[in-house]
Amino acid sequence: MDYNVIIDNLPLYLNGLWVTIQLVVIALVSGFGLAVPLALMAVSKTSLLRFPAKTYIYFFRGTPLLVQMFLLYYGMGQFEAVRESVLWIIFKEAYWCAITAFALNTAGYTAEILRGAIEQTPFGETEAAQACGMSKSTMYRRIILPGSFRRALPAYGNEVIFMLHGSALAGVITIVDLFGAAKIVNSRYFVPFESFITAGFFYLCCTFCIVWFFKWVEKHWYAHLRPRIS
Amino acid sequence: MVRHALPGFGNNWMVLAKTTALVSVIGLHDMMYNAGVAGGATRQPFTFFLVVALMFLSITGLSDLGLRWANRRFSVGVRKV
Repeated sequence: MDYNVIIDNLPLYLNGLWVTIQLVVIALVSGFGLAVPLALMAVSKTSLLRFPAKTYIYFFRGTPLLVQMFLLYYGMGQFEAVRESVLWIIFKEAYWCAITAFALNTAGYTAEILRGAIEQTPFGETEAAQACGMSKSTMYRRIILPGSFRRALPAYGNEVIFMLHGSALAGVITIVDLFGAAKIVNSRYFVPFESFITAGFFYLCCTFCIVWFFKWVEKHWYAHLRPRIS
Repeated sequence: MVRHALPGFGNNWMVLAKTTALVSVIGLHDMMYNAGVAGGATRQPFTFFLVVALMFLSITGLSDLGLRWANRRFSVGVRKV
């Protein structure tokens, strides 16, 4: 092990770490925003709403993230119409391509998680809401959605960790994230083991932070389910 | 035992099937790699990557059918909720 190479390139790794965090956070936030309406569409009784959502979920869960990212990054330039429209501002940058691909991908998975959680709402809760005279939108806002977020939490924590791991793919399309930094160090000094194990170590730290964060949220959201301490 | 293990196994199966696309990054000539080469040569990357996406979709779709069949087969005689 050559520690000097790692120490000398620590700033590069920290920059990469920052880019990785940006990618993951922006993708997760926008993906979640997309996932909620998608999940609501997927549980709808109207097939006109349900069908597009189901197709979206099926496509993004059925194809690899790498393919989706390449479709956006390499594929979009194929179309004259895209190259001349305002969309090109987004698709000519690897950074935004990666974020778009990650957001669309995580939206598919999150929508599926939420769909399952919404469908598992205990019948008594919606019955009680109806008995109180709540309208459908009030019922969703006050009863179904908060309850299903709580039920979806462990699975969503998993999805966040998967997104962190998936973000390493951004290094493949020239972005200098953690993995990109490791690739640069490897090609400059030819130290494949040291360079990638360092990136792995940083990813591990991120994963631990995410796990702790979700433990903390679970502690608060599941407070009413804990046994009483006497 | 199979009945209880099946959903987890199915999940793993799907994840692994999609992760195989990564081997193209280290230079193995799989669908993904060939699509990249063909897309670069013809300047039609979208078309080729879309075909790869559809192939993956058919793999996962078929796996889903198979897993559903297995699930039905191993859940014979189990009382439904």
